[in-house]
Amino acid sequence: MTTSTTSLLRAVRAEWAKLRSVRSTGAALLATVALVVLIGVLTAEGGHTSYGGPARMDGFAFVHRPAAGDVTVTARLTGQADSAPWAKAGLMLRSGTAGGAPSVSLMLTPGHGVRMQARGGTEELTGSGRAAAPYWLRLSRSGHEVTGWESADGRTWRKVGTVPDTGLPATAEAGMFVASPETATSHWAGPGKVVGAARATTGRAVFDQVTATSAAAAPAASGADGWQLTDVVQPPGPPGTQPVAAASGTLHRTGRTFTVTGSGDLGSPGVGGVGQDGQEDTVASTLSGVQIGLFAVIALGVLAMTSEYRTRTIRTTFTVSPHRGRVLAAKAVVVAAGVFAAGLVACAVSYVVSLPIQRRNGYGPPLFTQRSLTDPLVLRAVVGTAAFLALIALLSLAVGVIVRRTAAAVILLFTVLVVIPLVAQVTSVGADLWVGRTTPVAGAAIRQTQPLFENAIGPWQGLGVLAAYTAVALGAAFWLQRRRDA
Amino acid sequence: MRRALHAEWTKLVSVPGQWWTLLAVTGVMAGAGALVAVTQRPPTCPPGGPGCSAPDTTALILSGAYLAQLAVLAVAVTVVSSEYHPRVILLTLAAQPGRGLVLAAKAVVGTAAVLATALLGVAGALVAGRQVLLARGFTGQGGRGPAALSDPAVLRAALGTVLYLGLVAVLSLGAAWILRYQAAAAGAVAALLYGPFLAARLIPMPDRVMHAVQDASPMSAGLSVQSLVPGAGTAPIGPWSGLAVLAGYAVAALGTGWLLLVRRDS
Repeated sequence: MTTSTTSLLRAVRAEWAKLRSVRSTGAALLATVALVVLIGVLTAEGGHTSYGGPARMDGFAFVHRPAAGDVTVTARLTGQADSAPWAKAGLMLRSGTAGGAPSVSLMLTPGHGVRMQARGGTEELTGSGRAAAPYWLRLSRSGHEVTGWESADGRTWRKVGTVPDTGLPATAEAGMFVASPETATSHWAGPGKVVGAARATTGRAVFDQVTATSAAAAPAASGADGWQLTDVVQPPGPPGTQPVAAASGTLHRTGRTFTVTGSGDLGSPGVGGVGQDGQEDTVASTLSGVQIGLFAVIALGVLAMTSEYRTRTIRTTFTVSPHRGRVLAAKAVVVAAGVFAAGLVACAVSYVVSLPIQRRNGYGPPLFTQRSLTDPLVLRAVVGTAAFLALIALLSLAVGVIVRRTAAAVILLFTVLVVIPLVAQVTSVGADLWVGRTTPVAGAAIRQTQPLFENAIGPWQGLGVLAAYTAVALGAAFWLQRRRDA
Repeated sequence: MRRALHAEWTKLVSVPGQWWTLLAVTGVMAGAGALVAVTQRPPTCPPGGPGCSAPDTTALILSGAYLAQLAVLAVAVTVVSSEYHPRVILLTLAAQPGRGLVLAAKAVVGTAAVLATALLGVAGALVAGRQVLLARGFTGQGGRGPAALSDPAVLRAALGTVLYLGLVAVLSLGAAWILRYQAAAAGAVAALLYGPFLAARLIPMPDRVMHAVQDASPMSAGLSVQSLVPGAGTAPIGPWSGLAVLAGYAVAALGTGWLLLVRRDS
């Protein structure tokens, strides 16, 4: 081992002993953990959600004709408008045209690939995730059993799934459907106030090469070949929020090409994207306590340096370990490691404790996926937030070196990290987003796990901004400490 | 009393740091008022339309108080804690044995200095903020322009903000007499001011609980004096009763400080 690493190790050990023996360090670390966990739990306790819509979404434009007995419906979807990620267009077998009737459907969505729904939309089978029009779909019935198929070229077919007990009558309605759900849009109603609104969308899809062959003789067709358009009307849901009025469907037919438009949705909460629009970031909310836990971290980081200046221990420290850069490096290592460890405990405990509380308050399946602590997304948020606290501690240490006086350093950091973001938040939307992107608090974005409308910056970019500030401050601290008298 | 006041005045003005911090109270109030006004955009929705409430421009241009109170806190805490590091307090008390008199003199000098600088800052914020708002297109249609400076409600908000900063000074003086250490006192007052305010914003809670927290916390209740639009302020409490809540905290802190000063060894 080289002498420089030995002396760095010795300096780290010395700093560790100093930090450990000071009561305020333990108090600050304990306060960090307590604040983060307490606020995480309170946030989970206070947040409630419930799905207010109908138990089954079943309203869309349906182009159909009766099909007796075992039937196979095939169609090529040559185009689908991207009216919503969960817009749906595909094939359906259905016992009647009333909303809420038993049905089996196979559909293509712009954002979520091929899906198959059965049992009143409570059961969902997933097909190819990256499928996009033009694409082939096929539903074949055999007794009470219905099988869905998908194909990119109409020749090689892949099975999506089989639904054994569909509850379809002997003569079902078979055909094509188009639905497009309401989308939630968010806008700022003022500083700190995000307001959501629902907007109806209209989906559009083009089908051709449509065949519906029955094993039994097809009943005499009315009109040309019996295809007719029906708006399947959504049965009313519980009182309260009602779906936005949607435009009725249209059918435009040239030869064997059907152009269908329609609004509405199919599925049930958690199936087919129902109720999953504009979700809250449940992972980030369990970690929101770091915004207050920050106070203790600032105090710890600043005091690690300024207490040496106040009591003049710094002279002894420099006499024992004359290399000033090494002393600061050792302090940085010790402070960062201590705060990171405490932050990791705080964030992990806060997440694990908040999870069952959130679940009790409605943030659970089917609408919200609850992720375990080892889920990569959760790990990024939890470990990243601990790293955020460690970076804040390093920034505070550096400011402590530069300013040298405890009160001045604490007030400066508090102004930058807490008060300026607060003033921006209460006064102007633009200023709030700007502060969230360009000042050190951007690092708090690392706890986000969902792209939400109100997020100012992405998780890694945010942490990067904070890291850059910390690096500059530490650089200045090293430079100043070397040049100044102790 | 005159001698004590004179002594404390000399102590205050002879420290350059204190001068700069007092200057910061004025500068931050006025500067933040102008800066906040720059970030505002006149609402584009029709007046009186659904979800279209005119912003409370007076409260907005006075929001420098969120920042300026940190400078106030620093000045007031230093007035007291500088006596303890080093322990000049022994000399002070030897020269002026009436301990209550020392406390009163410091309170009068510190608060008066803060009130004077805050008055300048608030006046600057109103004038500068108003000019910027007018330049940004906030004109008088439909009550969207900045209220006239002679409007009694604006005067109440302005005077209230000056008093708010003065009361923060009293609170900080009290905390400094209790805790003696500069950093501890500054930290305690900052936590008392911002802690409940942030908690009420951060933690979701039933409206009833949130309003109770806002009414009882010194910063939310005190700053409600700035609000001209009913229901849009920092707390549901009325403007003057909100300031009275803060005054309660300030008097309690100074009273405790006085008791400790009289009872404790210095």
